[in-house]
Order: sequence, then C-alpha cells, then structure tokens
Amino acid sequence: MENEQARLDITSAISIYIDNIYLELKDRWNNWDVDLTRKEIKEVVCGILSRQVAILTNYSSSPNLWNGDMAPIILRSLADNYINLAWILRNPEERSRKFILHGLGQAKLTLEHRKKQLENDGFDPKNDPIIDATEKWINTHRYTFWTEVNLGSWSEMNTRKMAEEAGCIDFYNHVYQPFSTASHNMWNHISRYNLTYSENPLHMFLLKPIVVRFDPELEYLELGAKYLSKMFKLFDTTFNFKPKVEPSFEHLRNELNRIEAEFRDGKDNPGKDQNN
Amino acid sequence: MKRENKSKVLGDHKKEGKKLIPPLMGLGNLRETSYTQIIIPEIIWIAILNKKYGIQRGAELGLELVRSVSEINSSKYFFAFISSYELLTEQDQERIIEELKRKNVLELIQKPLANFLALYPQCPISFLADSSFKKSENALAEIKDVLIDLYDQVGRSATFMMGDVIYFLGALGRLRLVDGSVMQKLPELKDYPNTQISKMIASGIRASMYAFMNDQFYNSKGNWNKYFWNRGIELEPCVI
Repeated sequence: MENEQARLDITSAISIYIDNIYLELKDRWNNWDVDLTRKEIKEVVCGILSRQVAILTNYSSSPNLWNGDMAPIILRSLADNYINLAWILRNPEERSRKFILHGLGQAKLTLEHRKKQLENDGFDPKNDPIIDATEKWINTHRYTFWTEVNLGSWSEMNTRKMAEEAGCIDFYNHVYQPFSTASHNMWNHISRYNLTYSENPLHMFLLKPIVVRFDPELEYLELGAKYLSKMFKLFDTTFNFKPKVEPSFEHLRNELNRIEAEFRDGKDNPGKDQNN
Repeated sequence: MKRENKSKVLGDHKKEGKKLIPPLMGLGNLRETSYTQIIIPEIIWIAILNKKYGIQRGAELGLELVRSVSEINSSKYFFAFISSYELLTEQDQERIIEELKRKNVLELIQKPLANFLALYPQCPISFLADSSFKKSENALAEIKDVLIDLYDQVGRSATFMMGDVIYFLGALGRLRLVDGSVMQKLPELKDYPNTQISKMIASGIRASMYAFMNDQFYNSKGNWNKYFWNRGIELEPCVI
C-alpha cells in the first residue's frame, strides 16, 4: 500500500467513525426514556455525551492535533468530561441539578462583571445586547435573582475526590493528571515540547524556544476514541441500556489496524501490489 | 468619560463559604415553582376556554366550573388547578356534571376542551368530556399553539389565564385584597399590555400566582403535571 492510499483509507475510516459516533449518541438519546418532569437528568447526561461526541468529531478530523504537544489539551478535556459524568451518575437527580445551577451561577457572575465594566466605561448596561441575551438565557432556567454563585468547584470538591467517589481514580491518575500538565502549560510539558537545548557548548545547555510541526500519530486519535467509547459504556452500564448500534471504537480500531498492516506489508514487499 | 464604580460585583449577595447567596434566597421559607412545569399544566384549561370564547366569556365559564365543583366538594384545594380534581369521587363527578347541565354550561365547557381531553385521556377533568365530541384532525396542532402562546409568561394568553385564577379566588372568597392594592383594579387587565395600569396588574398576578402554588391551594402530590409532560413527549417523541 502506498502512502497516498493509506491516507485515503484513514480519511475514509474517520469519516465513517464520525457518522457512527453520532448514531451511537442518537441511539441513546432516542431510546433512553426519562420522566420529563426530571428532564435535567436527561439534559445533563446527554449534554455531556453530546459534548464528548462533538469534541471527537472535530478532533478526529484534525490530524494536526494528534501529537504529544496538542492532543493532551483535548484528551484532558475528554477525561474531565468523563469524570464529571461518572460522578453525576452516582446520584443523577441531585448532581445534574448541581451541574446546571453552577453553570448558571458562573454565567451570572460573568454578566455582573460585564455590567460593572460597561458602567465604568460610561455605557448603560441596560442597552447591551450581550447582557440582555445572557440574562434571558439564565432566566429560561431560573431567574437571576434566585441564582446563587458558587466561586468554588461545581461539585464542591476537587476532580481527584470526584474520581475517587466515582470509582475511576486510575483514570484520573493515568489520564487526567498527566494530560493536565499540557493543558495547564506547566514546566514538565513546556520544557519537553516547546524548548530545546542549545547545541552550542558555550551556552551551558540553555533551553531555547522551538516550534515543532509534529507528524500525526494515530495513537492519539485512538486514545480520544477510547475515552468516548468508555463514556458510552459507562452510560450503558448505569442505565442498563442495550445499544441498537455497533460500537464505533472497535470498528475504527480494526480499520486502523488493517490499514497499518497493509501499509507495513506494502513497505516490506514493494512490488506486491503490482504483482497481484 | 470614565467613572469608576467601586462597588463590589454582587455586593448585595451574602457570602457563605464559597457561595454568594442572592438576597431573595435569604428570606427563607420560599419555594421555587416552575411556571412551565407546574403552572401551565395546572391551568391550561382556562387558556383553552379563553382562546375559544375570548377573555370575558372564557372567564365566566371557567368560574362556573370552579364554583360548581367548590360547592360540591369542600376540599381545601382550589379547583382552578387540575390536580385538585384528582381527589374527586365518582359521585362528586356525577354531581358536577348535573350541576353544569342545570346551569346550561356543560356543553359550552365540553366543546373547546374536547381535543385536549382526547389527547390527555388521564387528565383529572376528563370526566367532563363528552364522547360525542370527536377529536379533530388538528387537535395536536391546536394544543401546541396554546402551549406556544403560554410559554411567553408575559404574553396575553398567559396573563389572562393567570388573571382568571386570581379572579376566581376573589369571586369565591379565597382571596382578600388590601385597600389600595393595584389588584383591586383587576377588570382593567382587559387592556393588557397597552396601559400602564394593566401592566402593573399583570405583574401583580404573576407574583401572586406563585404564592398560591402550595399545599393550601393545589394538590402538589398529584400526578397530573408529570402525566401531562410525559404524555406530550409520547404524542410527539423528541428524537434527533
């Protein structure tokens, strides 16, 4: 198999994967019955699933992100989303509501900061379309005068504690925590990916900036797909949901393995394609 | 010109740990009631009558129903709210039908509610339905139109629907207004939203409605609103 053919096959596999993950989401939304008077549960749970699918949809079609420098930003967000869901699912009614109310509180706080800034700049906040739209959005959930603002974490505990309570501390330790260094732009990431040693012996191993255009690594795509798959499985186990569509991740992984094998085979036997 | 506002953002909120609590929540003993989830299903029947007959005749017929039921059943619950009807006995229901017939209003109430009751057969007021009134082809579209109007809580339909509840409460002696209250001018609501006084009354109505959504007036343990919303999604599933 030639490079170009492999590239085309991967593009095709990803296109199918993107269609399939949407079908997986659709299956769960359409076939999971929830009492509408407790609609926050369905909105939050499926909102989080939808978020994971949306991230994967865009990430899958952005090969320039599949490298050790950029992928962790996305992968950490996927891990964060997973831990949120895992924690919510331990008490969906109470925690879905908590999740919503915290979001409304944050929107209200941002709104109040904007009002103050406009006043300081000599404008009337009452004429500001952004304030008007945000206020209306908050009020569709709950009146702003009822909305409290929580300056801490939405769950009132840190992510590690959430992961512990939700039974996914290993995922926190091996995924969330290491990928946090990239998304928080910490030294142990920057020094390895965004700096390089000066080769000049006069410079005492001075680290100097480097901007690398990394080649895409399929492993990073697979990791993202795995975290989405993990989320679907968590949903299915919690709600005893029997999916009507095939899991996308397994299909993607098989396809990528096949393409990789054919590509390797083609490299080892350069004349093989022509002979057959 | 810039003028520095040194006041703190959300300065009127009380800080409790990491939370900023709005002043209203500090008053205590207040319960949040969802207009959409609770109030609309409880009194949608009034909006349906108003839509058919206009606000005056709709209010008159609505009052006749609520008055008749209140005379027959002495429950503390107020019979503008559909959940209250869950507590009626079959005997009560038969007597209500007889009373409405005697007042020559039964058919007038049945007709506009026919589509609604056909779509929501487990509605606690379904005993009012007359099987000779068949559900029309556009029954669902009709109910959806009513709901779309009612979602606008400050719109005319919602305002007159809630205004009628206040009117019924006053007419049946369950509400006494203090002297000077703008609510004493309730009839002027008819001009809503074109006059200042009607807007003030409407605002009073909206605020008052929430005060009546408690166990003194409506059967909060009833199943109606749960049934209403789940029936809606059964009639037209929300799929992607």
